[in-house]
Amino acid sequence: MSFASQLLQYTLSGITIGSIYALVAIGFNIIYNSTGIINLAQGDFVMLGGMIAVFFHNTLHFPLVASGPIAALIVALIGILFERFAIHPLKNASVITLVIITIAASILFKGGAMFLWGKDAYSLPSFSGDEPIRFLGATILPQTIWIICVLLFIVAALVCFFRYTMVGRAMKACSYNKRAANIVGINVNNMVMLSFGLSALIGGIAGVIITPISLIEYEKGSLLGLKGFGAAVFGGLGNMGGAVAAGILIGLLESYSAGLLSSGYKDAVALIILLLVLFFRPGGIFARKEVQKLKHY
Amino acid sequence: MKKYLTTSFSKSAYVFTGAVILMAIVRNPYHVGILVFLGMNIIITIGLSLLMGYAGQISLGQAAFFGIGAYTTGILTTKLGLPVAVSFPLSILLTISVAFVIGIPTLRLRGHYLAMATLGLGEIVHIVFNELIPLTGGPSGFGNIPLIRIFGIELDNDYKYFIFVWAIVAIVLFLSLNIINSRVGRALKAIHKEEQTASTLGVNTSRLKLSVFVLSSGFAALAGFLYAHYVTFLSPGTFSLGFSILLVTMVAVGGMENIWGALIGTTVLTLLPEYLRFFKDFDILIYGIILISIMILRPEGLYGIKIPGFLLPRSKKGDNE
Amino acid sequence: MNNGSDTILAAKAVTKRFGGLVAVSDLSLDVRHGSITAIIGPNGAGKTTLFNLISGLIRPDSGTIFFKGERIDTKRPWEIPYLGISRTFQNLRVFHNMNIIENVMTGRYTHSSGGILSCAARLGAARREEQKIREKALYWMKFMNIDGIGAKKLKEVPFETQRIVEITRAVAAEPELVLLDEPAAGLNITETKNLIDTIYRIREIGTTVLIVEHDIDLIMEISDHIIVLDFGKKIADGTAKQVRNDRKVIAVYLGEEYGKQ
Ligand SMILES: Nc1ncnc2c1ncn2[C@@H]1O[C@H](COP(=O)(O)OP(=O)(O)O)[C@@H](O)[C@H]1O
Ligand SMILES: [Mg+2]
Repeated sequence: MSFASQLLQYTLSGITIGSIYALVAIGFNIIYNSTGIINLAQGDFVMLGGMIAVFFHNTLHFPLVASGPIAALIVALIGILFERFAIHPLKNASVITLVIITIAASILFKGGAMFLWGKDAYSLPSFSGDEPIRFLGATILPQTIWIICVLLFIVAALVCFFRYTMVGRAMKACSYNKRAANIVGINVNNMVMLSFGLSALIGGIAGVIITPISLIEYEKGSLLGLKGFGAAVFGGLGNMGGAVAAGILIGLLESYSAGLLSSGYKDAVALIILLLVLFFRPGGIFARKEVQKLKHY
Repeated sequence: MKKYLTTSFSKSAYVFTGAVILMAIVRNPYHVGILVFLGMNIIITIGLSLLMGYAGQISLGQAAFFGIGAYTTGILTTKLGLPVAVSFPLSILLTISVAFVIGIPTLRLRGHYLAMATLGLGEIVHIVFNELIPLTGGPSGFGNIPLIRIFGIELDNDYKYFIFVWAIVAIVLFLSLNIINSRVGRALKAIHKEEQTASTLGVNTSRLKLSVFVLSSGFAALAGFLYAHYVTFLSPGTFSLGFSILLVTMVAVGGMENIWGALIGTTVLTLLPEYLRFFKDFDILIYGIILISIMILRPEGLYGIKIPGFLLPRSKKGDNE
Repeated sequence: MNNGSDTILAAKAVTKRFGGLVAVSDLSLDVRHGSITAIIGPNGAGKTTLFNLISGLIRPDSGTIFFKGERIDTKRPWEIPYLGISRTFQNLRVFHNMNIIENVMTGRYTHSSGGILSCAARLGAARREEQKIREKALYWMKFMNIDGIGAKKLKEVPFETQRIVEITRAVAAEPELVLLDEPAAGLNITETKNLIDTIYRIREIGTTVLIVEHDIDLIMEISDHIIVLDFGKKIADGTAKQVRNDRKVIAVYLGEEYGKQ
């Protein structure tokens, strides 16, 4: 393989994993926008999506087309239950309590997954075979195309949802100003619950589509969550477009550093970016100075 | 005047005496070993309690400082053959220097951001332990770390080590109780409630938060040092994200707003999985259930729950008055 | 507007904006050493904002503030109390995670110096310092007539007492200038009388008092000097008598009735 095609190969795998980070980052943003909470269990939604799909397909022998959506919906339900039982009852909780609650949920999800499926790693078959497609000397797995298409579809769907549907607009209104939204008759409570459901749904979908190319196990969520958070911060917390761009950028950097430098330190790349952004531009790379000042970090 | 010295001092002495009596009752070396680990965990969580409960700052990277302390002394004594007396101060010094340097930018962040930044830092350190193979032995780790010799006594069994570790627990507790009942402790509590108000009283809040962060990293390094020379073998698995989270869980379960809460939470969560064997594989699930139930039903933690009052080290009047 | 030695605090052309809103607008004022000076004005006039500017919690967009001739508007909030300024807050900011004497003891922070390590070891000096802090806290609690409740938690005492605790915390810092933001809010007549007495006694020990208050009778009674703000601007500045008869003040704040008295 020539250097150019090798580079292309790294680029493709970077976009693939970056798409997953982007989905996780979008999940962070949805909950952050409606509640100001950073959900440390976000990565575990991804893990649960993969695990549940594996359960339906490999254990119950459901067809893949059914297992995937069912898994994503179950994760959405888990997200809603989490909000109802753990977040909703806590009125006026301190930030530290909220952080710990989402940590608790994360531990609970991991523990539940380990309880049900043990410590083994599982996989799903690819959606449309494993026959690689040759492309300018590099190879693309069909699953990669699926992943990119799903990301594009979700972004498009979210744009439409927030722009054209009543519920989407109501959620957006809540993220700008809760009090005002309440006054015009929006049920802020329901919107918060919905945002957890939606965010979990997206996490679940990410889990379903990544499992065919990357084994899934109960602990997989932590690092995915952390890197997805890196993407969310990098792109400016709450900013959807930024999340997608930053997710893919982090995926690319990680893939290049794995290929060209050292594979062992590839996980550190996203984390170092996260720290640098947090330290020097906590509003994200796309934010203007004034915007940065208004927020509390 | 004497009263204040004797309270912190006597409380720490009670804890030490209680531990020794417990050891005499337990006897079985395996169980004594678990209590040694309990002591180490308590050293870390006391520091974390100062940071979380008093200064109101969260750290999800405490396992990293524990690890830096352990690896530093381990590497210095095995690879360079330095005596423990030299590696001890160096391991603490290196850890608190790292904490100082990363603490400056990190502690400008609040709440969730601080949580994620410390989480990221912890993970990076974990990766370095795995990848810096010539020094750390990589994922499989390295062993043959020498034992500690103190006043001519080699700490070569669980009982001796138990006494040593719990003496240090008592010292750390004594120091921390002193801090809490001092101008610095009050300033910390003020920061926890109202950072801005604290600053109008003359508290340089960022500097004080940094001090406590560094102090808590020092306690974690101390525990790391003790761990390295007890287990005599180190591998990265011990210093994972999971352990950082467990430490925060211990403090939160026991009760963040009080240092005794850290002791209670640490004791419960260290002993629970050991004595309830059948939980062994599901310990994570149990932790999750305990933590989430406590945060929902009793966010102030176990400390101060009425029923087993005689079991809890109640703070006496002289403590705060 | 001079900068003579009897001026303890001077603001010069201070402006503070929040977005489009001008909370304090081109404001200049002098506070005389040893006086009781009041800032009055309708809600939203910028009184609290002025206090926040003086105590360094926010910075002016333009203009300067001097305390005893030293420029303070560029200082960090925690440096201000070391110069001799302490304050209370309109929305009562006491620490519910400490008992009452500890709350007062936080007021002694600037008069003590033990760092985290010396506090941890609590050897001779730190122990003596802690003892001193406690004695002083007790002294000031006695001065404010709240001795004997030190061991109580804040929630065990009524709101008025919590207010007094906050003032005690400010006074315990032994400041040269104390800023009181609506100290009489929520107090009944007797409590207000006690407060007035306390303010006089604070002044007697040489502390300059700058007070924001809506209770006009209280202000008229105790103030040597009154500054009236409206929409961030100073509309009057003088003795109680001068202000009371000022047409603009009557129009925007006091109302016709008060002017006739
Ligand atoms: N931090 C802030 N951000 C935005 N606006 C503020 C802020 N603080 C005060 N204001 C505004 O400035 C104006 C003056 O407020 P303030 O100084 O509190 O008035 P006062 O104490 O005289 O009642 C008000 O309109 C208030 O809404
Ligand atoms: Mg006001």
